[in-house]
Amino acid sequence: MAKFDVSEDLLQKLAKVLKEAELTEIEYEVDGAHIRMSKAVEQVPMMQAPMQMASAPVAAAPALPASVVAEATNTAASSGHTVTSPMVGTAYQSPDPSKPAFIKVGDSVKEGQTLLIIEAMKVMNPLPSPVSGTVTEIIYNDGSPVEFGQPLLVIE
Amino acid sequence: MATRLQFDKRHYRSVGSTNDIARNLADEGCFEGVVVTADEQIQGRGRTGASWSSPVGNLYQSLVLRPKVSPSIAGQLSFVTSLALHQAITSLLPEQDCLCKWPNDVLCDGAKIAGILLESKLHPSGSLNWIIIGMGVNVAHKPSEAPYRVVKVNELTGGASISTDELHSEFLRAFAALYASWLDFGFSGIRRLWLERAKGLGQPVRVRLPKEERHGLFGGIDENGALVLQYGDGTEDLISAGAVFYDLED
Repeated sequence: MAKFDVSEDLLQKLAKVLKEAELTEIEYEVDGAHIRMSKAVEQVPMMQAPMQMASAPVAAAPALPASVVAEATNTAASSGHTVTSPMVGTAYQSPDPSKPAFIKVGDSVKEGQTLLIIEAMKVMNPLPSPVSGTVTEIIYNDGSPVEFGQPLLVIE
Repeated sequence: MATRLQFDKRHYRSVGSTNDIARNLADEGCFEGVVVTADEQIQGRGRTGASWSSPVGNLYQSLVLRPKVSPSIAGQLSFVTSLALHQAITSLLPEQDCLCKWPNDVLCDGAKIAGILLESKLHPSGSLNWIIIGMGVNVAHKPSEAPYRVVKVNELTGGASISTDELHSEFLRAFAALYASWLDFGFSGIRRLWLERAKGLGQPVRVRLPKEERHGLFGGIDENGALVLQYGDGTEDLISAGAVFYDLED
C-alpha cells in the first residue's frame, strides 16, 4: 500500500529549495506519490495524489494545507494566499440557492470563516478560510465543478 | 485495524433537526459515535436546503464521525451509509427488491425510502474535523407530495409493523461493520458491494447539474465514488454532484 505523507514541513522545504535555487519548478516523488510545485506566474500549483489514495483512507494524505501551498507557490505572483480546493466536487457560493453568498470581493474574512461550500457525493463541505484578510479575487464560478488543488480565491 | 465504532445514543422528542444537535455536540468536541435521534423534526432539511417532512413515526438520526482521512475521500462515506441502510432494510424485509441509487439513495420497488445528507467540518488548516451523517427514513409515513416516487417501510411489511428502533439498531450494526472495513481496507470493497446493488448500470440516465442537464449511460462509479456518465461518442464525464433520473421509468 503506497503511503503519501505530505507534511507541512516537506512543502516548506520544497518551497525553500525552489526559492533559493531560483528554480521555476520542482518535482518530488516517493513511494509512487508525486508532487509538482511551480512558481511561474501563469501556472497553477498542482498536487498530484496517486490513485491509491482513493482506496486507502487510513494511509491517505492528510489534508493539503492550502495556506502553505499558497505561500510556497505565490512568491512570484503576489503576497496573497491562494485558497485551493481540497477535493474534487462542485463549488457553491451560498448555503442554498435562495441565500446570499458567503463572501464577495472586498470582504474581510477571519481565519475559520466559511468561504464557500464544495459538494462531493452528497457530502456538503463548507471550506474555512485558512487565514484572516481581505478577499481580492474569486476565481471559481458558482455551481461549477472544481478539481483537487484548483485555485478558488485569493485572500490578502 | 480500526477500533470498532462505539455508539453513544442521545434521543430527543422534538428537535429543529438532528443535524443541528449533532453539529453542536461535535463542535463541543464529542467523541466519534455520538448518534442523535428524535421522534420528530420541526425543520428537517434535504439537499440544497429543501425541507424534509419529519412527522412522528419515522426515523431521524445524525451520526458524528471523526475518521482520520483526507477530506478529499470523505464522499465515500455516502456509499458506506447507503449500503448500511440497504443492509438494514433487506435484513428486516428479505423479500424486498431494494437497490442503491447514486450517490446515497436507497430505492425499494423503485421508490425513494430515505434521505441521506452528509456534512463535514474542516479545520482552517484543511484537515477533517468531523463529518455528520444525517438520515431520515420513511417508516410509518411518507411525503404526500414529492417530485419522485416515495415509499415507506411499513407498506412493504405485509401488514407487520417495524419500529424505528428496530430499523435503527440494524442500521448501526451494519454501519459499524462497513465503516471498519472502509477504514481498514479502503473504498474498493465498498465500491464493489455498492455496484452489485446499484440500479440501472449501463442504462440511460439524466443527471441534473446546477446549471444544465446531461444525458448518457450510467457507467458505474470511479475509485472515489464519482458517477461515470458515458456518451454515445465514447467519451465520458465524472460527476461529483447532481441528481440522477432513470430515463426509462420517469
